[in-house]
Amino acid sequence: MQDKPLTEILKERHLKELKVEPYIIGLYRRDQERLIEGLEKALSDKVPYDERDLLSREDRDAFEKGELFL
Amino acid sequence: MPKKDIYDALRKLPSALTSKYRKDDARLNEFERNMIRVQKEMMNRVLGLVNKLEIGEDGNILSNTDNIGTASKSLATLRRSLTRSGYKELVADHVAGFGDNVDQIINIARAVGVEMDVAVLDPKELTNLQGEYLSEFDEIGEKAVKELKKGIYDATLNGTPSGDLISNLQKTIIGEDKRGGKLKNYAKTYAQTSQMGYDRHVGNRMAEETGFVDYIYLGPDDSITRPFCNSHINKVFTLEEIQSLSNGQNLSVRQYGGGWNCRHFFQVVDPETAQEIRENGLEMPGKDKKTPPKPKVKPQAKPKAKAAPKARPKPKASPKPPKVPKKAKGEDGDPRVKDGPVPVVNVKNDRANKVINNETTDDARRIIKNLRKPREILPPDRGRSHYKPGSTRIYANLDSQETLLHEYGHHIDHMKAMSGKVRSSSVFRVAYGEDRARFTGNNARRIQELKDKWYTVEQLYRKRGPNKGKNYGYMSKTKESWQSGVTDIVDALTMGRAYDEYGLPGHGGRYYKQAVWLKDTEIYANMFSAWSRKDRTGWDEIKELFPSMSKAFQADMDETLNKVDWNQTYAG
Repeated sequence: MQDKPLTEILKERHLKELKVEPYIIGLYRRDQERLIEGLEKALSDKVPYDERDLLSREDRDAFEKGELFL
Repeated sequence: MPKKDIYDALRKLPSALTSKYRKDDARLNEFERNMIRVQKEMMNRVLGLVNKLEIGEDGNILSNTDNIGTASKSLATLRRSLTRSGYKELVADHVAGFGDNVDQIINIARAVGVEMDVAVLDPKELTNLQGEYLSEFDEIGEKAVKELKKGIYDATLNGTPSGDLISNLQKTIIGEDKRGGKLKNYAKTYAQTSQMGYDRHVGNRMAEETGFVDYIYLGPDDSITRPFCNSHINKVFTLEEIQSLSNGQNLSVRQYGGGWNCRHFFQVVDPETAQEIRENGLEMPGKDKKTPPKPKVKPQAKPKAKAAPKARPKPKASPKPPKVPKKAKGEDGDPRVKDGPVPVVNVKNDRANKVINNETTDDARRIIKNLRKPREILPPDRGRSHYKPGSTRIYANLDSQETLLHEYGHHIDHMKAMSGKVRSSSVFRVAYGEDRARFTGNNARRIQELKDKWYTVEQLYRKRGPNKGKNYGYMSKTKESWQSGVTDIVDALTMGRAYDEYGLPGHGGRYYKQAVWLKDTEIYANMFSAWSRKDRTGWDEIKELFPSMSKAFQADMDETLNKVDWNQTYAG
């Protein structure tokens, strides 16, 4: 059995392979499996994981103003 | 007040009124100018949307799958276009400026010899009132975009010539003549009606505190004045008489005067002034008069003592036409009566109603009932639950009580805000620092202790693909679902360290860096989620872990329960 939860392993791989930490804003804090899917896809596509990109433009605007409560 | 003073004061009335008319006109003209800009920008954006539709060689819109798909999804695009055209900012600025008229209202009262006290105004009540006006502006915008969407959709289904579609859209947005399009005209009408509604509300509230019951009907007397206003202007009425008047529009005369677009209002006067005006009349400057005439009020030789205030009328202000029939108090439990019958809550979503009515405490339901409801409660947006104060829409997984009540907590926080987006920053101002110290510095070990105590492991198995069923690791999660709400409070207290460094369920530092109030509103929402539930396990733990903030939160809930008029204006 791995010694760490999968999310932690994937986050470490993300930093090592993509040179940046995944940008997590708690979008999937109630659904870790979705977060894991997203991190795995980012690693396989070699595109850093950024939860802001998963927001619609309107939601992203709201988020940047601190007006999206997650 | 001595009669001589009344006489002198009344001479100032025309200029006090003119000052207000000028200000109102200037504000309305500016609003209209900006609305013209909005409608032009909106038209450009709508043209951009129409350009995405495929057009046949004959110039007609092709009724194909792609076009129908684009048209059927156009509502969201149109809503965004309206926002980006500046509509929301414009109406928000307009409504935010309503308070600027209070000085004028006080000056007019002073000009009839009545001193009104601005301190009697309840800022929260006024904020709620402004919020209600904003909702109405939103509805005007929503109606316009729905009409546009229908036009685009119908034209696509029918293969209408693209020129006809553009022409029809133009009629809706820009209009056919100098009056402009429907959106601008409806918004302008409401801009005037809401401004006057706010002024009357403020004036009525302050008038109630004077104890006087006589009112004079004031306002412009010009070519566009309605017959109703013409026949009542500059005359004195008792409150009882006002309440028996009808403007023929099924709108309260006291609150709406002659109805939509009305510029008139009732100004409270003291009994002596009322009597003088009843006997001698009050002539105000008309449209054809170049100089204000002297009011026809006879000076009185002997000063009179100020009349003792009569019994105050029961406040009965209503900012806008009620949309639903009034309910008798207690019909389904009056939320404004603590310890009264428990209200049944209807938030326009059956599953949410079930959670709220079955799983929350009586006090939680009283609070939910007492405040304005969210515009909509919807399923999570692509798996993501959230709340946006701008739209007052809740997106929540309704299978999870914690999630729904968490998002509802954000809504309550927003509804109670006197300014800005949330109230929680003031609720936790002092308590935050006290409880934060319990999880930072040397006490950071408590985070690990919580993790050790509450965490369990769940194996993960592939759900699809060639490795379906294969174990590929594990995830840590809290043993009980309410515990993740508690760890989220710790995460907020530590500005994301609990998630980033310890892996506790939370939002993480990047979320909290976005705005200073996010930590407060997340704590508030998590506390509401636990506090509101019949199962007290989570709330008991919160009281133990965060003694200062839980007390502050409880005090805030008590205040909400005990204050009867958070939303009185809108209650039946």
